[in-house]
Amino acid sequence: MAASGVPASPSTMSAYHAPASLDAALELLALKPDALVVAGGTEAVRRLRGGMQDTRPIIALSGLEELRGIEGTSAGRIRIGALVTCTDIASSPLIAERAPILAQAARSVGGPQIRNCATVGGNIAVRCPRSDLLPPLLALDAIVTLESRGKARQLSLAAYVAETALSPELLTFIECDAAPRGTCFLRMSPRKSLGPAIVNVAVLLLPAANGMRWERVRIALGGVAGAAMRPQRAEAILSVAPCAGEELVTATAAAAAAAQEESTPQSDVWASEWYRRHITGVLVRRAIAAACT
Amino acid sequence: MSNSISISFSLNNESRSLRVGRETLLEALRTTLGVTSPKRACDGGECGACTVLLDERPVNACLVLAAAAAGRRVTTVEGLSSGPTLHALQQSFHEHGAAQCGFCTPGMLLSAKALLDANPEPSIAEIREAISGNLCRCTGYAKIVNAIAALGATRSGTNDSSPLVAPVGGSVGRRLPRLDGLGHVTGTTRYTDDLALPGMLYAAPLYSAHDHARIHRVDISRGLRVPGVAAIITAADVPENRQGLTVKDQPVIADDRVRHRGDVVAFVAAVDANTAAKAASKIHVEYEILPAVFDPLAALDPGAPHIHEGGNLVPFNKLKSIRIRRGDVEAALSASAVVIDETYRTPPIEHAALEPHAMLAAPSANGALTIWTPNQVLFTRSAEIAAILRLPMSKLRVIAPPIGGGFGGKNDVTHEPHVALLALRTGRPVKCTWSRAEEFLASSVRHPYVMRHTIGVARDGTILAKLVDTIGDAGPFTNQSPAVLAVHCIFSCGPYRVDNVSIEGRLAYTNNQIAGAYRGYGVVQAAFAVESQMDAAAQALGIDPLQFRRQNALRNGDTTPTGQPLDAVGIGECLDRVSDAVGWSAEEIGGAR
Repeated sequence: MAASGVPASPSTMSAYHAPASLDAALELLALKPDALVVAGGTEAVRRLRGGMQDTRPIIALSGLEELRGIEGTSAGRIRIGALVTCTDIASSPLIAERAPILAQAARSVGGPQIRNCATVGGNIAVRCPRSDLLPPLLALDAIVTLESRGKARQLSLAAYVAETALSPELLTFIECDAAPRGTCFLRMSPRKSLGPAIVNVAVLLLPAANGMRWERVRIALGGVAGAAMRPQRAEAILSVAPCAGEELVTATAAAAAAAQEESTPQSDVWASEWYRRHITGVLVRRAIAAACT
Repeated sequence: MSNSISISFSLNNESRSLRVGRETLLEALRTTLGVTSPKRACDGGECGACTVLLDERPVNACLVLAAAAAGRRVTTVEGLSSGPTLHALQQSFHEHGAAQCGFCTPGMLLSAKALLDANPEPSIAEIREAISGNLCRCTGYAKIVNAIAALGATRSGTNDSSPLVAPVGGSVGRRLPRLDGLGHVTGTTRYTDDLALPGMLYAAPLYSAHDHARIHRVDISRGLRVPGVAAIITAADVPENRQGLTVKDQPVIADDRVRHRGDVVAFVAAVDANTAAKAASKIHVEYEILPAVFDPLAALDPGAPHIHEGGNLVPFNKLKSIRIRRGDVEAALSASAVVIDETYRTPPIEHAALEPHAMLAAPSANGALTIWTPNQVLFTRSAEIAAILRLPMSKLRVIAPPIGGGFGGKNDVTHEPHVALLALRTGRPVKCTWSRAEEFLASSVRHPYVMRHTIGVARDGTILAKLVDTIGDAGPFTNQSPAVLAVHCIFSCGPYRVDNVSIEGRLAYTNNQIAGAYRGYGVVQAAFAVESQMDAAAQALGIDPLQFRRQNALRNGDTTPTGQPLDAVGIGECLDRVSDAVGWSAEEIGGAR
């Protein structure tokens, strides 16, 4: 039964909290562990509207200025506040220089209006298997900081997206590697703008100092399993391949085939299982070729 | 703890304070503040019709909580112009014909403004990117892109586009600005959902919980007990509970059974839409679930569940069939060098106009009634509504406000009788606006057709015969299906000359969505089957598919299968121009086929 028209009735209202600092937000979350946490709102508000009778208190994070920064760390990594928007990522000079793959992925999220609101933290925390920022962040060995009152812990992004239990913690920061070159992000979507990714792929290829072999190989896939994932056999195949020549072409094809085998896609309204698997092979092959050049 | 909070924000440079709960910024603007230029179209961040500027950035107001606007600057299209002077963007949209139905225009203008403020001379690619979150269903975007580009070009002094100019003297042969264009670009055009009357109630339907079920009992008592509910109507409250243009087989409110998920079982009026929806969900319906059928061919099987008493072959005429015959098809097929017999299927398609269906009814003291509805066929539908209400036409006034996109989808009577009955019952104005989900559930769709085509072609490439058997999926009610099917049958040979023709079209009831008018009106499906088979025949003959079409294209002096003589046939020239424009080469294509 679909609701129609406006407005909201007073009977479905409940408390709305907009804490002004991270400490205040963590304090609130400890008091109201069942609260609906809203960052950019593009997912949470949509869910709220779907559930007319949702009376959970709302904790809106928009006032937490300390989570809006993008900065380089002393270890040469990049630290991104959870409330940084996709527009911020797409237009950040630091990201453009040190992790262009992130800017590329951020530019493909939703449309401009969505990107102006949608946050990096939200993109990760909704645990949608096809979120566009997940594959590049996995390829960049991202770790997330999770905070609750008086406590903070760090977790690899890979472990976080695979974790199913949702504890009342706030995702506050994301830290990832810099990779000025050797990366590629590709996605297949029913349409260019406002279309969800059917499959998205991030590849990072870092040649060793001698330029003959790969020092680091990362392949990350979205949309092909219950959570964004790295196909380990595909990475292993490519890891032992040379950085150029016919053998690389053969290894690329083998890695693409392995990635297809390692994915466990499902059929939905956007694409069939068969099509997702097929596109996975195509995108992995193309992304490896592009990351090499 | 209070359930609402006080917020202040700047709206178009004026400070506004209000109390908000958990409604969205879009709801607060439209309902609380009466600012209706941001449109409610998808309510899910998919279309951009509700775009406003939050500080300097475009956002979807349907995905921003009103409370989140506290302390920020909100700009709607009302904030673009100062007084009677249009903003340059508004002027440019008007002059370029960039606002057609106008429903996407306010959002489009704000995305364009944000772009030009940050980047005064954008490239075409940058313009397209900037409006990529705003859907337009009418213009094809070209005029919108031109309108924005012209402004950038003006700033750089390289404006070579040709905007429309207000005509001086004669208007024949000139491009004219739309008469309603100024309202569209200023956001002052009032669509049906933008209308609000004093004391207005909001209405919400209870839809069927099943595809096909007998109704044993409808108990509205729990719904009536929800605070804020003014009235609930069921089938017993409808004076004439059967509607239909050709066959009166559609209950206004389901009585004996429900025949698809879009059937209305009860309709609630309440102080606000959420209360109405909540009360509807409290209504108890006792169903006996019946087997359902979703495929038009399966529906005609002897063992299929009957959706209406007389079976599933729609009884729109004595034969339950449309037949077109010319020449001797059997003899011509026997004489053919190539015969291809293939079945083609098309799916249901939703019109997806940006403006959802909306209907508002207001009673007058003298027993008369006014209904506002964005209907495309106002006079025919007014008569149908009057018949349902058993009101003389002199007591009914039906007004069509500007329509935010129709495409045939606003061609039917939908929930106008329901809001009318609720208005008569309560003595208050009653409005209902559909959600996007309801558009897919309760409005009509393009007919799914199963089309068996048999073509016979001579060795020299002349089409000798065409045998067509179409089964249309009408959904559970006849609606406009016979008229759509008639047009479909007339066009089932495509724009090609065929001397020996046998075409039959029939309609099956199913438990799918109601099928109805959709631009092209049955011809689109025929074109898919005809052109697919033309390609197959050309391939079988080993001839260029373009040449095959040219050879058989209708010419002046030919007659259609229904005997209509033709004297202005453009298909030959159309094929010439298109093949020139795309650089058609039979050799190149040959490899791919």
